[in-house]
Formats: sequence, structure tokens, C-alpha cells
Amino acid sequence: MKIPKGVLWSCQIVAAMIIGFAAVTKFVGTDGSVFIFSALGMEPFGRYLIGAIELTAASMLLTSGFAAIGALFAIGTMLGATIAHLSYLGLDVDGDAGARVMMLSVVLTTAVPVLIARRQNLPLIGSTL
Amino acid sequence: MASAASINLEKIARFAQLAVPVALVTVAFVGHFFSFYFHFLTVTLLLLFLLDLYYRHGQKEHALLTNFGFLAQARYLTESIGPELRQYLFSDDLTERPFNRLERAEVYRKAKGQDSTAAFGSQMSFEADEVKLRHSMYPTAADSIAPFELTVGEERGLSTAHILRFPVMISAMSYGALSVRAVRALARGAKKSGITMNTGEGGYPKHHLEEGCDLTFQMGTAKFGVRNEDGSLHEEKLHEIAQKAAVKMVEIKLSQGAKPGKGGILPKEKISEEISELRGVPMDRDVISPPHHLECTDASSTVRFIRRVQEAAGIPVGIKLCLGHPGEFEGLVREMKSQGVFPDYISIDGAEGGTGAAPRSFMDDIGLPLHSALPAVVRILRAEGVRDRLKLFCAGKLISPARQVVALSLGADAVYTARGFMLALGCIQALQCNANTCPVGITTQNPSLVRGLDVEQRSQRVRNYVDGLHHDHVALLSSLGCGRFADLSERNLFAPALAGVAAEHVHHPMPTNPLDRGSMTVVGGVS
Repeated sequence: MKIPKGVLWSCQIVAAMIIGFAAVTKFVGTDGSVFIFSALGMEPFGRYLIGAIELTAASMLLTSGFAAIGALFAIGTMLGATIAHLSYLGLDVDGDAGARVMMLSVVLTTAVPVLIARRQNLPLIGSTL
Repeated sequence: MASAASINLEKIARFAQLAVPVALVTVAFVGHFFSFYFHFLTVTLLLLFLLDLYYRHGQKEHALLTNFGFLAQARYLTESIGPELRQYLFSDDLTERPFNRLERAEVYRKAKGQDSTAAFGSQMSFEADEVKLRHSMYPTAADSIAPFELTVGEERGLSTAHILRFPVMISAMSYGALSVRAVRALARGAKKSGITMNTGEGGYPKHHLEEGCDLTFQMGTAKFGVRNEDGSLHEEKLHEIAQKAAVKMVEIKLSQGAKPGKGGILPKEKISEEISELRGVPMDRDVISPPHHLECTDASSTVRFIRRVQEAAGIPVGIKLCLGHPGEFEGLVREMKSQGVFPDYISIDGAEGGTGAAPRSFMDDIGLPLHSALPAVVRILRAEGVRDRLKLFCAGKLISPARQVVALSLGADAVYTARGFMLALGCIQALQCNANTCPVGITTQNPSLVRGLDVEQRSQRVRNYVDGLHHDHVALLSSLGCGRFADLSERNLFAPALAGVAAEHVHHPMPTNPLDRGSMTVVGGVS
């Protein structure tokens, strides 16, 4: 099944906006993100590291050639976030009524089709996918 | 028989298959109880586990991946960097194709104006069936060798006859095949060194014209730039181009060494507004060059077409072809005689010619190689008594001065090389001319790759290459005992392996048994 280009780009933009925003909150050090990374025992270094990965992924998602790598990074960070929610944070984090988990699912739902559609652009393994 | 140290890849693959999920669970525990940072590994291993599952159970295209999972990637990764490893590290100086490292290095040295002497003997195999030049016991003084001069079009008494002052020309490469900067660098280099450059079949030669060098306008089977909508000749457009001061000759391309008997395809994706304008083709569909000119269906119509082009152009007109059947060529020459029409030159493309992107089977297996084709053509022209009615050019891997002198000795009046000049421009033989990814910006339209090609600096390398060729030509002629280029003949050649048509022409009694080396050297005297 071929995903139309418009849909693909919409997915890329939505995923890029969400993780781009998430990266900014980490760099700025909003109360919510400091709370989370304190809970995970990664404050502040882990916060900046994850923020940097998210920012890279968001920028890559806004190109056509690197979108597959961007999607892979986005999926990776979201899988990490999923582990965090499952093991430490729970669904409701700092009174957000599940908004973060919601955003996480949106990123996963949009990045996975991007990765699948553009998998052949992945370096090294692209030609075998 | 397997040695004691042999590796059982299947066992390793099974181990890896088990090790990844075990490691995944382990780091997940460590991440949970020790430090969350370990979850970086958890996520990586999870993705690797999914990839391995996909390889072993999802895809069916690669048996290796199905059987060995992600470990089989090692083969694909290593294979993908094989060409680079071979070229940089493992291939010796004589094994690479189409040009080995020694051949390329000679062009590079000439292009950089460096000394090209070598030491401790030749790297070539002297048992090989290669054509060698015979030196004379009485060399000519280098300063007494007459400068090269060849007037194309003198047979027809044309006032527009073109005088070549160097026996090597830049062979046909169009804008489109080459980047703008590569075209400009070649054209500027041609201008600096006073040689003639062929425009290739890319239509109106806008970028070639910008540097003011002498040009041969090439008209391919699609007649880009000089065509009617149906692909036939638009005489006024041709006349207009031929009237440009820089355009000295017109070349009708009947066939090409890289893909004889086949026309190219220009996909619509590659037709930019500029290319559409220069070639005179629409932008909305693929343009397919026919395998032959619409007007040329047999010898008679081909000769009539040559006359038509000569009349429309008013300047010397030649034809270029790769020889297939010598008999067909003989028929064409007889038709020229009967109609009293001769092209001003014929250019013979050896099947080893190669700058055009072509299907591999055409590149590898169709057409006669130059050392067979050229002597056959000379023999036919002489037998028909018309050798003096036209000039003869040739092309096909003639990048070194010695190979050029061999071609001149086989009967050519001047030679073409495309790849010699590409190497002079800085080509590293990355073999990506057809992929728009040329790493040195010569055969790509990608602006970020073209950026690295400095027109002025590279044009000087072209000039240096020409100067280096000239220097060696003079030295070779001197050694052969020739006073001028026109003295070169098959007598200057030792040709153990010229088979068939070539052997007839070269006159030396050829041994019938190729292993009979003793007799070959004995009969090697001048006939």
C-alpha cells in the first residue's frame, strides 16, 4: 500500500511539531520536564540529551531525504518515554490528565508510517528493507 | 573439508537470535532498578530485535537475511563498500577497468604539468597481445618534426574548411551529460590550447559557445536543437548554428561506441526548462532518440542525407559511426562514390567507447573494437580508391599519447578522446556518470557537487594535458623516425594480436597459432 505524499508530509509535520515542542520544554526546563527527569534520576543531563535527540529528529522529519532517520529517532525516544510511563510515571503526569501519553501516541502513530514509507532512505540497511 | 578453525555461521546466527532478546530483558531490568540511562540500550535492542524478526519472518527477498537475520547485514555492508575498498586499497595498478591506475595516473600527471618518467622498467606484461610501436635505429631530431596540420573540408574546396593544429580533439559530451562547469572548463581549456571540441548531441551548444573555442556541432539521431516536431531535420535551425563563428564542423552521429544501434532515452524528470529549450523538445514527456536518423534507412538515403546536411550547414560535415558489418560500410562507401558525395570526415568509434550511459549488454557486447574496425575501414576506403576524398578520425580509450599514435599509425588522421579529458578535469573513475552523483561534479547536475569544480583551475589542467600529449607525441614521432604525423603508418606497429580484418591490413605475416610466439617475433620485421 502506497501512502499518498500529502498524508506522509502531514504525518512528518505533526510528529515534528510535537517532538520539537517537547524538545523546547526540555531545554527551557519547564516545571513538568524537570519533574519527570528528576523522577527518572536523569536531571539535568538526561533532559538536555533527550531534548537534543528530539530536536534533531524534528529537524530531520522536515526534510524528505532524512525523514526516515528522523522518524526512527522519534520512535526511539517515544519508546523510551513509553518505558518511563510504564515503569515510573503512570498515565497522569504532574496533573496533565494523560496529555503527555496522548502526545506520545500521536507521535508514534505518525512516525511509524513515515519510517515504513521511507525505509529505503535509511543508511546501511535501507536497501534490504 | 572444513578446517578446525572454520566458523559455523549458522550457530552464531542462532546464538545471536537468542542473545538479543535475553540482552533486551537484562538491560530493561538494569534500567528499571539501576539507572534509566540503560533504557537507551533497551530501546536500541528492541529495535534490533524487531529488525531481526522482520528479516527472518517478514521479508522474502533475501535468503541470507531469512536464514541468518541481521548478522547477514555484514555481507551487504561489506559488499556495498567493495568498489571503494578495491579502488583505494586492494586492486593493483593494472587491474582496474576501464582505465587502470597507471593509465589514469599518466593523465593526472600531464594535467598537473608534472614529470611523467617512471623507473625500473615497465609494469606491462610483454607477453601480452598488445600493439607496440616500432622505434627506428635512426630517430628524427625532435625540433625537426613538422607541426601537425590537417585541413578538414579541403577535398570539397570549402572556403570554410577547418584547420586542425593538434591531432587530438575533445570527443562528444553534451551539456546534460556534463555539468555546466565541466563544459565550461573543457571549452576554456580547448580555447587555451587551440584544440577543437565536440558539443555532443545536447542541442543548441549554449554553454560550449560561451568560451569561444572551436566547436564541432554534433547531431544525434534525435537531432536535438535542429529538429522538427517529428524528429526530422530542421534545416534553418542547423544553418543558424553552423553560421556561428565558433562552430567549425558538423558531425552526424549515426551510431556510438557505447551503444551502437540504440538511441538514448531522456526521461522527462531530467528535462529542465533550459534543456527543453536547448534541445528543442517538450518538457511533459520522455524523449526517445530513435536508433537511426529518420532520413537514413539505407545507404542511398544516408548519402542523400549527408549531402542535405552539407548544403544546409555550409561547413565541413562528418559522420560518426561504430562499425558493425564491414560489408555494410563498404556498401555505404560505394553509394558515396556513385552519388559523388563524401562526408568531409568519417569518425570511427570503437566499441570500447564509453562516456554515454548505456545498457550493459550494449556497452560490453556490441560493435567492433577500434583496433579491428579502423584497419577494416582504411582497407575499404583504399580498396574503393577514396581514402583521399575524406579525413578519418577515430575514438575509443585513446587517452594516452602512445595509444593515440597507434591509432594514427593504423590510418586515422586525428583522434578523439572524451575520457582522457574527463580525467584531466579531475575524474576519479567513480563510475557514477549515469547516476547524477559524480563526486567531482563532472557528470552531475547536482549544484552541491558541481560546486567543487573550479572552471579556471580545471581549464588549465586541460591545457596542461594537451601540452603533455604534444610533448610525448613529438618524442614518440622522433623515436619512430618520422618527420611528420602524416608519415605514421602501420609499418610503425608491431601487432601480434590484430585479428581478422586487422591482420589483412597490417601486412605482416601473422602466426596462425597465437601461442607461437617465436615465429611472431621473427616475422616482426618491416614488410
